[in-house]
Amino acid sequence: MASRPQQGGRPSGTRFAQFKLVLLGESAVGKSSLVLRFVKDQFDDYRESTIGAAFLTQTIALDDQTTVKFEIWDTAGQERYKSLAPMYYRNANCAVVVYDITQAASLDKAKSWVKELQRQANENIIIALAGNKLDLAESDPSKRAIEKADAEAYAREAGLLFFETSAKTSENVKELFTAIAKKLPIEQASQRGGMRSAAGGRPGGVDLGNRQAGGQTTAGAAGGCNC
Amino acid sequence: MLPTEQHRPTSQSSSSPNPIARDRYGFKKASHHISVQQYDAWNALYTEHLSRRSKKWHILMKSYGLNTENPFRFPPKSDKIKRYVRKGIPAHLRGAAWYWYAGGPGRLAKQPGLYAELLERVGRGALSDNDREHIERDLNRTFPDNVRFKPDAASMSDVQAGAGGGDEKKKKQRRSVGEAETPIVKALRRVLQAFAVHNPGIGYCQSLNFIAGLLLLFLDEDEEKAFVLLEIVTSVHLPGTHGIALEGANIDIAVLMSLLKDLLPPVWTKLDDKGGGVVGDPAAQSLRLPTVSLATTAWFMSLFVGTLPIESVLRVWDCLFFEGSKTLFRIALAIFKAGEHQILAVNDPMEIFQVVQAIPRRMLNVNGLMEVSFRRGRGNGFGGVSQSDIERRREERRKLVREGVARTQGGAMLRWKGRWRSKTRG
Repeated sequence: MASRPQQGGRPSGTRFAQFKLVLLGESAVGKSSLVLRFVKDQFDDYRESTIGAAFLTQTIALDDQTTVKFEIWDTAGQERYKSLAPMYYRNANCAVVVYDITQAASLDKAKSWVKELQRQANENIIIALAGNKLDLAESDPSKRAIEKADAEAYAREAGLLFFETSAKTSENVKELFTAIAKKLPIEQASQRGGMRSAAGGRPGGVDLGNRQAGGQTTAGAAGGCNC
Repeated sequence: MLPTEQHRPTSQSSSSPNPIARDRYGFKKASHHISVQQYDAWNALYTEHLSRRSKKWHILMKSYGLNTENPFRFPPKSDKIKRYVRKGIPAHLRGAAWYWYAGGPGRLAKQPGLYAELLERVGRGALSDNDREHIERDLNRTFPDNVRFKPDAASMSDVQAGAGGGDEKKKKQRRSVGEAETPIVKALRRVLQAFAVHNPGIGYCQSLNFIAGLLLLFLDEDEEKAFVLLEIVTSVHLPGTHGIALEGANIDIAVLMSLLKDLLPPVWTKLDDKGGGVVGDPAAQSLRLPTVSLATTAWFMSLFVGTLPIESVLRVWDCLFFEGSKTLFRIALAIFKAGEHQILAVNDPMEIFQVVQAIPRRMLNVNGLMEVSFRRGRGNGFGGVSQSDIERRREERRKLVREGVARTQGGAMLRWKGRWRSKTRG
């Protein structure tokens, strides 16, 4: 992959870190479309429903010296796929919880995802709330079902980054991911060659317990997060 | 190369003035993984294969005195017919042959009139709001790259003119202007609604839209037959896969992983990341699956639609309906076999997921894929994977899951399993 800088080959003074990002939210709110816009700068009016999950990567330069690579897990939105969700958000460094500003119920679903992440995921996880389909409300204000101020107030209260986005027009898409990147602990991660590899492929995982097959406790071993 | 990703595109760029290059079934030739040039290069040879097979089948059907114009009956199952099916059923016989060999007529005879009755019940309000809503959301997201589901912009006005009759629903979530519903989309809605009402343990599950949609395409939009085949797929071939907790999907993924472990040990060793770090008691230990197994969820749930190129999907379905669900495992193993070198060469564990995700999407060479699936001999092919082997492994896994659940219910439980349990009760 051309976009994958090699660990050893970087000039000194530059920073590179990779982070795991998971996308969650009700079905058809535009999760895959946001990712497609971010990763390929494309948009399809009609996207196939995502079955299971898709994995993508995208690298962005924060400044001349700093490069951040996102490993993105785009998940299926339907409720029953939720049983798989812990496998996706386990060890995630950041999450984008998406709702559709034209669908009132989709914010409720987003809130329940936020709650679940705050309860179950990596305790340092950065969560962003994205109200997608801004283009629809801009072309016809009557389509808006969720006021920006309301969602924003909720996001502030819950400690989330917040953006209204349009995967279609690309409004705020890059901004969303850049804002997340800026909040990530790049310094720590780059010193150790990336968050994920830093802790044996599984930083966080705080809720999972550390007992191995034989039952002996191995807390503080590779499974633990020492950041 | 850009990072790989899951979706087939619906357009190269959002507006192209050139007519869209489509295949013989009305799908766009190009995808994120295959260019029109690649498609055409493959297709030139494959077209010869198709016409050869078509002639062979014609002679075969004639020799049994069977109708090829309006096909309904097909030759009884035998090794010879199996070979014919494995080389591909001609498109004009395909849907009828699926229906026949999967046992459609027998299933229909058991409950004649069921489909019409279910539609009536839907009309009387038997469909849950949740299922209705999720079906509506997916109708426009089912094969938008096929002309019968989503006509070219130029022909949209014709479709709109011919649509007539108004829409029965409020169109409450219409997202784009100028959206016309084609007859096959309306048929898809009815089939999915009837299915949801008839199967309260499943309702509507995303991925059924792709299965039902492809069935309708090849059954001349005969909704009742598509419904019957959807029933057969979800009860006979993929039991529990689409259920509220996707329990059958997880079983089959585990079965595939156990087959990989036995039949492609180097690949398995590379893939096995100990569940990405989920550790726990021995029961949990034995239940956990490598992270990459998540990439295969869609393989089973959608019967490879969206995973393999469409011609390959059709060939897989030919064998599925003739030979049963072992086909799906043989194909999945052949996909891993095809990607063996690539997988073994990967250093970063995350890259494995991308590699596994991308391998099948480029697999135009379906004859090669089939050959590996059905060839016998350890390590060379997977023709030795029998249906009874699959059923045995499924049963073993079900037992493990039951025991695992019983353990956690019994006392000291890990939080993640508690979560799992609460999720799966839905």
